[in-house]
Amino acid sequence: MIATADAMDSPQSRFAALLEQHRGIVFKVAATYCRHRDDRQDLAQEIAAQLWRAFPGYDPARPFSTWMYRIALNVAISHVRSSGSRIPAVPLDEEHDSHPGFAVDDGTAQHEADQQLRALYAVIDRQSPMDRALLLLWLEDRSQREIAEVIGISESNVATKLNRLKQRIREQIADPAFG
Amino acid sequence: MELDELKQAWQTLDKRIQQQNALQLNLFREQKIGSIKNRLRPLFWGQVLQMIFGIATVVAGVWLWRNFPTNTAILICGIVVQVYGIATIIASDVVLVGIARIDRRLPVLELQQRLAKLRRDYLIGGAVVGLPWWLLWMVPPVIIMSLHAQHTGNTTVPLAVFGWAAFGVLGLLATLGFYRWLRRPGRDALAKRLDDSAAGSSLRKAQAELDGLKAFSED
Repeated sequence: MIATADAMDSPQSRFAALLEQHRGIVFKVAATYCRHRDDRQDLAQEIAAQLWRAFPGYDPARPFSTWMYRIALNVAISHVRSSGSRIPAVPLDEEHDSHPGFAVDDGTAQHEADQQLRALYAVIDRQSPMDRALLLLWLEDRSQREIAEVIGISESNVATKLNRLKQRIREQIADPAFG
Repeated sequence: MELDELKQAWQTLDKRIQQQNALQLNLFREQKIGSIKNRLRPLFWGQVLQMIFGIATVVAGVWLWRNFPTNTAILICGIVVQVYGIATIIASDVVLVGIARIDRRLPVLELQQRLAKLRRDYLIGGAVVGLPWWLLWMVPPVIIMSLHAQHTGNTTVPLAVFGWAAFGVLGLLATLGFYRWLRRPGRDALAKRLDDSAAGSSLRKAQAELDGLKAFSED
């Protein structure tokens, strides 16, 4: 019994439980920065590995999600920069089935959701790596305080940047060439 | 489409990601993927070797000017070699400090700035260590010729030395001019092709990246 309790309390099992709880963050960060399925899987895997390596330095007094966003975004941005793949101008139709989250279009209500997802990816693809991080955290409904902590800028700067980003997105969506 | 609909689409993505059972993270594949520190290890050891080379160069430079204080040519060579060695050590040190400051747990902007600065410092360091060789290659023949002149008592500087120096200065200026030329607008295609070999283009990118991050933080 003691051995089992120890195993449950080991850093690896604690980490595995936390990762399982927040694994959506890993996949959403990967989906924000990578367009191709294999790249995305590799990036998600790399983020998980880097999280595990950094886990001994994690301070449990601070929110796990904030710590996780920092590492995941740092890994993703470095991945994009080192692979030199800024924003691939791949027509969305060609990449349709390799994006995460698309269901088979059976002509039902699914279709509308897929259209929205496609538009979402088109918006993400138009942003710089740093703005993507900001956009992702905004879409995740993170507080300005948490965004400031993850990105490393002041809260007032976050507010300014978010307003500008939203304005830019509105203009991009209104552009006839959008999507 | 409105911003609210973007959030709606994001929630759809979230739900579907949660439903996709195929997406499994395997921690045990981590050994295949090195940490950022592991990836920087070849750079780290390269810089350590460069530093050892710099120290050896300083020692050689000091040895030259201390042992031949009356031979002007060797004295100058010794000082030049020592200055080059110090520059090499500083260049390595800057990169090594940059590597030591890399930590994934830092805020996103700070880490990305440190990485971009590391890249820029590495490229500048490469130029500091590499470019002086347009002139430094002359040091061994000049020393040999000076020693020979000291033996024979013939103190006339051979014309060849002036030719070599002119060649070195022209080569250095041509290289610097080439980097400047590459930076001009309209040379993107060529700059891209030369990216791997010409530090000028890489440096421009690293600087642009750093400027972009700085603008992001100050915007």
